[in-house]
Amino acid sequence: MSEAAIIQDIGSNYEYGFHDVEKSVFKSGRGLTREIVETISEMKGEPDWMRQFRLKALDIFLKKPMPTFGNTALLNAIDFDNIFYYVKPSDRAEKSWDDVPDDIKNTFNKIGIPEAEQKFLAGVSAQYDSEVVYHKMRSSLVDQGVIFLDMDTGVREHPDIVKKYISTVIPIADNKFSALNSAVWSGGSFIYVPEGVHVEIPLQAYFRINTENMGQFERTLIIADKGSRVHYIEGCTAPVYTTDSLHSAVVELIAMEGAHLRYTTIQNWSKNVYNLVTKRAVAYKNATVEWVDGNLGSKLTMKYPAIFLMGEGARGETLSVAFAGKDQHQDAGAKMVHCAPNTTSTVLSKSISKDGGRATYRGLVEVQKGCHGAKSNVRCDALLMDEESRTDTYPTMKIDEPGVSIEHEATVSKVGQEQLFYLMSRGLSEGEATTMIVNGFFEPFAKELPLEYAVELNRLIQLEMEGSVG
Amino acid sequence: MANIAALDPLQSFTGPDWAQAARREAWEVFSATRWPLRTDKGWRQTDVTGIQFDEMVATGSLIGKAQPIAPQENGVIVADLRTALETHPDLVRDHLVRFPQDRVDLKFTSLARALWTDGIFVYVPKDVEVVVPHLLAEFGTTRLFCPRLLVVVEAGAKLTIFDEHASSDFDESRMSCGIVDLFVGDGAEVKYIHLNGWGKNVFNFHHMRAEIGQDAKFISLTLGLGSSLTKATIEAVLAGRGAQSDLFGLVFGSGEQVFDHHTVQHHAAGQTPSNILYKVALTDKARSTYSGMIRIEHGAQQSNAYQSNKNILLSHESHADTIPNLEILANDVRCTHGATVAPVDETQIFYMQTRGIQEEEAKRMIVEGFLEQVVDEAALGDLDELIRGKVSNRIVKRYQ
Repeated sequence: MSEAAIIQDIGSNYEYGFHDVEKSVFKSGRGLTREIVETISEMKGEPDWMRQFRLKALDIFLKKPMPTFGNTALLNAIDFDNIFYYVKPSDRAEKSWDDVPDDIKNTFNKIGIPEAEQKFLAGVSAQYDSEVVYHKMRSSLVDQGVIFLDMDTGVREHPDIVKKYISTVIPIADNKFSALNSAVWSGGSFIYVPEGVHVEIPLQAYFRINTENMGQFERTLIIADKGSRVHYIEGCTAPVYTTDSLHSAVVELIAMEGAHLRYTTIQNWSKNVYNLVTKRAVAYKNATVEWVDGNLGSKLTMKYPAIFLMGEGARGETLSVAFAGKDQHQDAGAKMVHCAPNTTSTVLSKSISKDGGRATYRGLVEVQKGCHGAKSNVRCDALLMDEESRTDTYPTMKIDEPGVSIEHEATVSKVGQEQLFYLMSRGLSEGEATTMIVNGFFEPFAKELPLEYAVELNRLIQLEMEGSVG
Repeated sequence: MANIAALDPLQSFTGPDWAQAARREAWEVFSATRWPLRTDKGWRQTDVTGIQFDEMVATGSLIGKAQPIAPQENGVIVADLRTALETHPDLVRDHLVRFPQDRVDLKFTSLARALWTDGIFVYVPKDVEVVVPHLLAEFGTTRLFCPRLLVVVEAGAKLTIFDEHASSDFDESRMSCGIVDLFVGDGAEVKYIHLNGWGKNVFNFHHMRAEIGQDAKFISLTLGLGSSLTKATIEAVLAGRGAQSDLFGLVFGSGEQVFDHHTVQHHAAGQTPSNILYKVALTDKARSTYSGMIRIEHGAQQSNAYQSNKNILLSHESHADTIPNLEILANDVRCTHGATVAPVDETQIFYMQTRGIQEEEAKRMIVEGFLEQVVDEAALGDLDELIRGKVSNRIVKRYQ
């Protein structure tokens, strides 16, 4: 293949773009109505409080204006009337892959989920369109009282905990898309880790969209009780279609005193998916919350994982990487809100823009009055691979307390000619040299991933970078 | 009751037709634009909804004062702007009617363009070198004042200019809407120092824009010392290849002062270096927002932009926001920004106290040292001492 052809080819290298023939057991009509919301609630056999919760959220969604920041042109192109809000692929979440319908099982086989489960995961949840089709956790964790369920089952089996915490971190009315999710949510994970329990091996959820014009609205709530530890990983892919799908999750994390909660995302949606997600955590006294957020896919991502540092000594860390290729806008970032003294936060953001792609860092560091001894360090690095691409940095720092130390730094550059020259003088082709530099650029992120994921990430980068320098 | 909306931009204005047309056009934009709300882009940090804008009019004339003081030789012109409309229309016209409208402060810039009465025109011919040591704008008897400065520097010329806005404290609120336009010709060099020394109860809206030609150099120093509230935009447009800008700024806020400074480094052409150093020191209940935009346009290759904002908070009631933005549409560039908010170094204060210096005095010295670095880097030459004195006086006044 000529170099020009290779360049042309990039972006069509998406290997998760296949789709199954649709065999859903239930599919709502297009568009959002009160009836659809009531049908979802009824089919799930929900208690009345959840039904009311959904209906209230629907009213808020309909009244709330669209966001006025970010890529408003793309946002306003979303056709809410063309979306399927609920597509039920199978009757229940199975505990054995053998019981999962063949098509769906094959899909997850191709993505490699069952294999990963055996190798390095303590529990797996696999969601296909609106519902979780497979769910299993190691029995040792069950014995320790760890709860890892799909959210629907969570509502059924632990209504008290869910009712107590749901939407306490992200109010329904937080933004238009959190309201939408609250109205039509389906699937997602519910996790509770009891006091002092350390879940040493990651739990994982995998989200797969199959249906065209699908809207996927999973809802996740993770509670790490005092002194506990847990690492949760999510991955996501979708078929390539010519028309758009919408993924709009709400993820709430609660880290009680001394808990350690890490949430890793490898987002690799196809380029016809809008990914508009609200993620927020609260960290109490001496707790640590980490968001490790990788955005490789989607058409438009808008996602700013937040950590509210509520107790003295709480720590927040966000590591965010974005890869914006052709026809992609990655609008990602981090928010750190210091509400207690001696809290610390760090943000490291890395982005690469290529083939006309656009990467945006949008962030907030806020230190409220009385939070003496707060420290925050934000660092953003952006690489631009060609002159068609674009990068933006929009950080905001609001400081209400004198005894604090707040730093923000950002650099934008292209791949260094000197570095390239050096590597090429050692016999690497320009493409190989560039890939190596980019891998190095992403290294701090890859390092935080379980080995298998790091390998996968490097491979993805390689695919994206092939022939990118001409 | 007097009302801004009832004013006539052509009342007692007898300039040439084109100038009258420009006023009418600006007035139409002003009338079609509403006063900014807290939710508007560019106004989220600074709330001006409490200001009774409509009452900010004179019952009498609109005249403030803007005094030209300078020697005029080698073809250098330092003139009253209204007079210059008649005497040098060919030099003034094209520059004066240019009206960029994609601005968050459009309500204020359009008001100033429609209603300005007092202004100064500075012209430096090709290859001439001149220092204009002091321009002064101060309120007359009116509540609204629209000072306007137009500076045109031809190719290869050099100008250093000190522009002061000053007044005493007032009992009732007043508003200043100022516009400064600088045109820096190819290979020219301009050093522009702006002092905001407005008194208490002045609401100050200010927009400075410099258009910088090929291989030209623009240095500005903005001193935010006065007014009750200031919303200022400092905009450098690197229009020609090899153009360079260095924007320096310092803010000292005390009492209940509010400062909102927005800088723009707009790289419209390639091979353009730009640099910003903005330092902010706040005490009492003062608030500051610094927001900076570095925008590198598509094709402005080999640009190099740097932006640094440093804040110190000296009291528990003070508040600082910093929002350093980047928008980069070219790849062969280097672009870096940094922002910090840090406390006063307690060990420094302790050390000075052991030498017999009172705590408040120690803080004053630290603040002066912190802010003076900006004056140092701006390298003002003959004006250095004058500017240091102005900054120092302001700080001393707070710590007396």
